[in-house]
Amino acid sequence: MNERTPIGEAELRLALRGLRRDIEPARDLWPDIAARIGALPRQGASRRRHPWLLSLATAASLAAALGLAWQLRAPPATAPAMPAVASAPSLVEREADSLTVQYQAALRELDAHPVPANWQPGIEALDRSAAEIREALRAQPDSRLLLERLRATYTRRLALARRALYA
Amino acid sequence: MLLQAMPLTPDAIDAPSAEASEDAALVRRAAAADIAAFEQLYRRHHARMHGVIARLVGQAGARAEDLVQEAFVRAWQALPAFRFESAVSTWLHRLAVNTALMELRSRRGRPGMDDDADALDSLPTADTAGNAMLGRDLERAVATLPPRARAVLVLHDVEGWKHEEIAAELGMAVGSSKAQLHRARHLLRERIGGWA
Repeated sequence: MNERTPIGEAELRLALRGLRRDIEPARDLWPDIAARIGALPRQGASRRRHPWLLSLATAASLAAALGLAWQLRAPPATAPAMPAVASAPSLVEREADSLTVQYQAALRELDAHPVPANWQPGIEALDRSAAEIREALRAQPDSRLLLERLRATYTRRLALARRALYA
Repeated sequence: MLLQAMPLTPDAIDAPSAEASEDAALVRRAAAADIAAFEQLYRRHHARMHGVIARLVGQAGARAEDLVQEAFVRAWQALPAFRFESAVSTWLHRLAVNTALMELRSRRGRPGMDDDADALDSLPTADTAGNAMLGRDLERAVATLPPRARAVLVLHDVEGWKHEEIAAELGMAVGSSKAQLHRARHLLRERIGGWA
């Protein structure tokens, strides 16, 4: 009765393609998104050649040129973009700075020991990832998600360096 | 690498032109800081973005929802630089994928997050094989694959990406992408019993 037949490669792939569907989140995410983008530095509408990286770079250089730590817009519960105001570094940003200082100090001690050559690509990937996250944090100084990513990346990098002590 | 420009995919061709035109108009308004236009973009695309993110991270729920938020915040920031070289839907889809992959990468090395043995232990057994090919069971089986294998399988077999695109996105060789796909399919077939 419960006869089963082997599933072919094509059948499996068809079934997998059937998984491609929209999934409605359990709640409306828009209010949180609106609050977050309302707290971001205001974006200019100028054209850039490399969409994502250059938007980050431009946002950072704009802030630097104006001599401001960050520009914040008023919360946009109902309104469109508001004029920017000066602001001190955010709590997340300060945490990220502090985390980075501690991380670099720990790494200076651990990195005195040689690392096996075949670990190098992994280490470089982690360093690159940390740099990317730091760059993204400069554009989104209130992102706790990015802060957590940075913490996870640093932790992983230190774990590798520590493991090298016994390699 | 994850923050690089986003190339065209077949979706750009599939997108109905009227819808694509409306999206493009909304992007122009949103790029000029029209938040109401951006909310319309969110309403039009959030379920699709949430869908692909949930598949990549292996579950819907708070984690996937956080990543959807993150992807839309990134989209808002990148809007002024959008050059209409691809459909807006494609661009947002890529952004969602990038955001999910960055999250997966940051979680590598955490206990249980990228450990094949743990992932295998949590896979469904062949006892469920009779129903395995019903969508939800297959979805569950995919969700419990090791993260990297899952990402390749989802991008290739579910989302229809090419190995070259996957390799570029995940920072691996094309051959590694193919090997991961083979491995993922093997694990999947093994765990659903190879039967339907």
